[in-house]
Amino acid sequence: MEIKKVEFTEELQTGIPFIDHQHEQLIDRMNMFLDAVEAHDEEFVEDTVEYLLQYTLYHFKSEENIMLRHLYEGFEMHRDQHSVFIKRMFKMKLQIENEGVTPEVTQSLKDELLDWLINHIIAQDKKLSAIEMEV
Amino acid sequence: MEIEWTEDLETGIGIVDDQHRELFGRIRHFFAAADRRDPDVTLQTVDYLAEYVIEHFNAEEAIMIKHSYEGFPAHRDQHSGFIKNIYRVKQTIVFEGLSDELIQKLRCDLIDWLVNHIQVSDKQLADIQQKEVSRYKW
Repeated sequence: MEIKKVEFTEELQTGIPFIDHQHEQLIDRMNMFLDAVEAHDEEFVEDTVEYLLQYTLYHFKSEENIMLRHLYEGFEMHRDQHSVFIKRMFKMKLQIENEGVTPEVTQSLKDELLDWLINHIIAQDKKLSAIEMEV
Repeated sequence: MEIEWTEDLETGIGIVDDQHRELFGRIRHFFAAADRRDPDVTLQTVDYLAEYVIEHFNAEEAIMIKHSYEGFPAHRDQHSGFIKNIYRVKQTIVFEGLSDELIQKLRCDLIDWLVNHIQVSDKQLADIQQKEVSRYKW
């Protein structure tokens, strides 16, 4: 099954330079992971899922730092959403280690990771520009 | 109640133990400022503590993820609880100021929680070291 790559379009921009830069990096790594899945290269898949996971953790931490510093009202809910995503990705990593890249994993990748991430950026991360405006 | 580093808090993972010691230092810093009842300085120490808590939890979670540690999801939830607590502490100080009751409550909430978390949850991370090394090389 082919999964469409993600493009970093204007719609995904928050207007906060460091966040946009990190989102671009994240999307690059997502696309790299997709390449690995399509190539059916198990070792490459395991390496890229790890690479993606670690960067996501780092990125989420960066966002949470500014939310906490500025007492952003939506912090707790936003943190929870980050947790849901990281845990899902972690579960996928374990599945891949134990079962390889199955059709189920590929479907989850599309629905639970890619689509979720895009929606999260548009619905939640864009709101963070309100923080920058107050500063 | 003072926050003291004791040997039973060692996890055996160097970076984690170093960061725990730093965390204790920053908590002491916070209470020293709170005791002087200066809201502005206290808020600075809250920020100083909060940013380190986030860094430290992130470092632990990165280790757990790297080694596919099965306890990761539950451990992450514990971290979330504490971070949200710090957020609420900051909110309280900003909107209601400092009071004896608040400071007393915080000594128990923050210190008790952290000591317990280290002794119960973080010590389990030592198991990671003993398992077969992950093939991911960093």
